[in-house]
Amino acid sequence: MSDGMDSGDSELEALDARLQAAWVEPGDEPALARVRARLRTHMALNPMPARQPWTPWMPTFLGLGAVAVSAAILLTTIAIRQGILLPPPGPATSPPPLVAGSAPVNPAGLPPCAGSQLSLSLAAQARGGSVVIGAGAANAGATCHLRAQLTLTVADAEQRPLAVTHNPDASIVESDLPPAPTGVGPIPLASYAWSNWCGASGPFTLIATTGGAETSASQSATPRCDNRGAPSQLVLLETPSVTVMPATLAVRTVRSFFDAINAKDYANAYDAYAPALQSRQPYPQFVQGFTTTTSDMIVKIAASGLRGDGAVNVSIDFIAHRTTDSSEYLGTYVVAYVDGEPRIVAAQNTEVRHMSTP
Amino acid sequence: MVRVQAGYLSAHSALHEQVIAPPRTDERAAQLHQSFLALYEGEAAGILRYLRAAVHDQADAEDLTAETFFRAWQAWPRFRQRDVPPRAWLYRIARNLVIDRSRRHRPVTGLPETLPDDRGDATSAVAVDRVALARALARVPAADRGLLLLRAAGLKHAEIGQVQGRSDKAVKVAWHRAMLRLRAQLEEGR
Repeated sequence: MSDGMDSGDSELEALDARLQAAWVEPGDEPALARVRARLRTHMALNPMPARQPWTPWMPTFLGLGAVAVSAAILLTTIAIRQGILLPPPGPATSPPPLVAGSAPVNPAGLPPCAGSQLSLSLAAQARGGSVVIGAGAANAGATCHLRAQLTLTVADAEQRPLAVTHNPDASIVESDLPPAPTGVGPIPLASYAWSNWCGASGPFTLIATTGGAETSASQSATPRCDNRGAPSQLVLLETPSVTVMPATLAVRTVRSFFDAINAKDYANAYDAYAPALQSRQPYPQFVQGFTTTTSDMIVKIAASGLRGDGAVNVSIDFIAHRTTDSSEYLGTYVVAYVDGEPRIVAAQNTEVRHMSTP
Repeated sequence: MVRVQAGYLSAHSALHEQVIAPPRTDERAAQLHQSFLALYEGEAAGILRYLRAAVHDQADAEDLTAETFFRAWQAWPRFRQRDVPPRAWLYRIARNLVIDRSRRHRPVTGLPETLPDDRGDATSAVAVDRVALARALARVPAADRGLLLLRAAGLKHAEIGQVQGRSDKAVKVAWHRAMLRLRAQLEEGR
């Protein structure tokens, strides 16, 4: 073993390597993303105390307070399990809605969406004992900004709401909605987890309303019954949002990228790449790509399309002058907000002309 | 000019990167929030790998990974007062969850011929090897299994010592014995 567990037995070391490789899963990211979403929900619902709750010299009342809270949670849990304390009936507001990230709100100054241009959609999938429900919207009109209450109801086949805690869920969603391009699904607005259903089996009806639009969908996926004594729960997981990139900003981002290349300021040029793109091309490899480049001259640059996820395609025609020759390229750069900043998330260039002169 | 292959992000994956802002504006709470999310990003893959090896079920491993971090989050403000590195602390939590789970579940009398594998390629060499190793691990003593599962997660001997509260030397000796028993079980299972 390289870390000091040298057995002196190459067969054991090979077995050790086998052991370490056996449960490596290169495609773990979707699973980690699901856990991350659950963790963020948990953290939002269980915020930290603002101060350190305990130090050795602090009065013990804080510790006693923690015990009291724990006892209250325990007693409440027991009471629910025993049927002494039932969840509040009827509509309830979900736990605090999760506010989507650091991207600016409506930077493109889009008009509000009208109900008539929205088409809501619902999807449900059994996962890990729960049913994960996704609500999305497609926009049949011009790009608009949606800020509205999204209500999701889990109902029986006759559309009577089921006795599920936080059902219906009413949460605020906010997103830019570009027009739905062909072949691209609706823009996700919210996702929910429905768990511990011990009542009658489906099919069930999901009903969603927002911004004057409404839809319903029949689905048969049923959450696993984990505890007959505890209430079934509907929990808001996430309210993702799309932020439409202003076309002028997208063009400026690509132009700045080329300016940095021409100034041989590769660090700044590399910074224009989104982290996902950087991970596919390490910095040394990025710099190496310009070893023979003397300049990249832009012939034409323009925003050429808005994508369903709010990103903008920027088309570019440029001539790369190298020490020994030159080439003309047509390319497309995709610019989107990443952590609140405009970044190049994808790029493709095709050589259309080669010249033997520099 | 560097040529970058097209790799358009799907709407879903792009949206997935959205950051859920901390619910409190308090600076300290925000710091705790950020530091804990950084801990998750650094350790979640290893914890998931450890739990996958321990419970042989992808959905359960995901649930237990979430539970590990839920519990860690509750204790995160007090964590600095502990004399254990965060990685070892997380694996202790995960290990305790595995022990709790094994108490709740009926002992496994026999493993299936093929274990659940998300890649849907149960005949691949890795999947076959995983089954063979899982069967052998199930037959070694619990203490050996505990150590080897941490090793399967990629922990170094010093880190395993921190999780188990043992010296490096003790872990090295225990590891050697555990590996011999594992090898014997693999040979017996052929």
